[in-house]
Amino acid sequence: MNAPAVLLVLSGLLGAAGFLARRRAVLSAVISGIGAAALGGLSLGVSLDAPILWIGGTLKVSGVWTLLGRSFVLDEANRGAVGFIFLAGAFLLAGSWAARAVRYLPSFGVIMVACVAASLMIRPFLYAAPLLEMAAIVGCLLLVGERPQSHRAGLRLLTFYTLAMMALLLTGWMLGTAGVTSSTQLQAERVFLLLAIGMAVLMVIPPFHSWLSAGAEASDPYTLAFVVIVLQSAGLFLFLGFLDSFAWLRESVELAGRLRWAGLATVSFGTLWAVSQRQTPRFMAYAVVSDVGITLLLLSRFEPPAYQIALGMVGCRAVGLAVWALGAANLPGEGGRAPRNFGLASAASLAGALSVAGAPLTAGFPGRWAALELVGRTDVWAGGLVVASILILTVSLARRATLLVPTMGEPGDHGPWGQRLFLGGGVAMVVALGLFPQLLYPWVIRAAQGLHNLMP
Amino acid sequence: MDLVLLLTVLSIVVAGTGTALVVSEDRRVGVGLLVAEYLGVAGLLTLAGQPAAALSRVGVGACAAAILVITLQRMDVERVRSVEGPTPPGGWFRLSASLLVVAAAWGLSNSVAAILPGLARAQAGAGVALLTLGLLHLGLTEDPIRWVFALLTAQLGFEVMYAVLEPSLAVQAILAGVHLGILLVGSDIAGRQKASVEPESTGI
Repeated sequence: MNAPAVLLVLSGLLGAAGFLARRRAVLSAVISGIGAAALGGLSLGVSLDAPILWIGGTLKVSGVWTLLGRSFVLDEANRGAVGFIFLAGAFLLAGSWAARAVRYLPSFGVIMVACVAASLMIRPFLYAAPLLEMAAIVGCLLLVGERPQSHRAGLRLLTFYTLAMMALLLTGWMLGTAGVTSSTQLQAERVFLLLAIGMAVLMVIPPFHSWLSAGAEASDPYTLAFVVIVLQSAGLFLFLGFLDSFAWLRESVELAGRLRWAGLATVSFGTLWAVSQRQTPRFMAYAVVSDVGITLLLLSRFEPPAYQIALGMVGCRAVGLAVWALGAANLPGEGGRAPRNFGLASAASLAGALSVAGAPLTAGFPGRWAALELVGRTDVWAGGLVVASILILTVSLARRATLLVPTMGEPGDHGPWGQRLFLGGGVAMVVALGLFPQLLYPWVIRAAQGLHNLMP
Repeated sequence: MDLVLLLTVLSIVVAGTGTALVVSEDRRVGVGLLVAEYLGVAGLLTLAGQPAAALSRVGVGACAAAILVITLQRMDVERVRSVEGPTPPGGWFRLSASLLVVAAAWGLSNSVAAILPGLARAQAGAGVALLTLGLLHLGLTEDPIRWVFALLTAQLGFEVMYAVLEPSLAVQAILAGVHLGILLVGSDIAGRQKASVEPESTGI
């Protein structure tokens, strides 16, 4: 028995079960949510290559699965990341019924998470790119609805990911087989260029963000949040994998400088474009772009605390986006479909949006504050931009919130108790993580504990 | 026949097929040209000593033809064409743009062949031509079926070059899966576009 095969095969079975139960939203969400959580727990907790007592006998679980000449490996280096992706998926999939998301989300969502998990386990890890493309294909099927803008979002997503796959496969070949290092300057330039294209797509950095803004217009908000979180997390882990594997990359002053400039440009672009949007979903899409810019500023530091904060911000982004989408899906008008649960839905929508904007007392704030302390010490421009993005996005949201206030007082909180529980729980979670970030950060940081070169 | 000459002839045929695919307005003809591209790429891979990769391209090409033909049959081509968005640029524009792209690709083939060891100049030319023609085509259309043609063309161009660098069967299998995924997404979106002009139809 080997752990990668168990994880991937069980994911397939969960996807099939969720698909069969697709007309029963609660059952489908429970199957995929609990199943993904169990797989996350399994990947974090299973004893690898050691005998385990099992129904009176002993069982040895191997961490290696060889398929068609390539290996999928679950070991100490990647089990944290695999566990993180399954648990983040479980968190979002379990709430899909309360958000009345696309009915295929629980089933296809598990498959998408499994593709990302497979990309984290495949060896050499450079072959992760085609598996991420597979995840994008599944994400594309989830995003596409009846409205033409959603078709555009799907087509752009897949076009970008296909280009990224090509760039990353060539990067992998140049680094792994052709032996490119910083001493071969021309080759190193080519690697930087290809890596930049690949990572810009995977982390939704402009100009490769257009699928996100198109999707925000027309796709289901909760489904879009799921796709963004899963794909961005995968992109971040892949980038950390590159840095961990190649010492000359993480010691490159040039790469650090380019990451910093990309971060500054992304924060500025995301913030300014966010405030110029009329529709809240598009505002959120650009707020996510701004948040990614701060992640880039952190990554440019090449320091263990910066990697830890970047990972923590991914976790908080998942919470904020999920809670916003949960609320937005239950509001009439933009992104919403039914006039139910106005008060709680408005509160959830607002709390989630404020968290993504990095407003104080929300889950998104501690990460931005820590980022400010870290990058602001030596880089005034970066520190100033982090502060400006928090202020501009929060003030813009506060102005938009006045549109939500009337709905908060309306009688409408009569949805199913479970739905109200999710909405109320979401608001409570955003506030709790804003006040006590230690509830989340130590767990999320474990996702990168196996990257010994980055976090000795 | 000399292997280099054979490679060159086949590369020119593949690039010509890619150009015809950009210029062609009829999507049924496009399906035929796409299959011809797959066969041409399979031929290039066979000559490069990659028979397994070539065989997988033939298989995927057959699947692509089947999926696209079924999709077009379901779409009722003439009707869908009448409700498309902006008219694509004229045939002469697309032809001249394609020829420019192919000429540039041929010019770049020496540099590409120098970077990627084991890649013949003709193969590099065909690969870069298909890749750039695919990108050009992507820029000219938002129609999902043409988008499938464009993206698969670009990917075939990449694979002509990458198969020489990485002959692993596992990677070839995953890349074949990616082709099928792209076809599935394009077919799904095309079907939904039909549904959006027919109110009685239902989707997900």
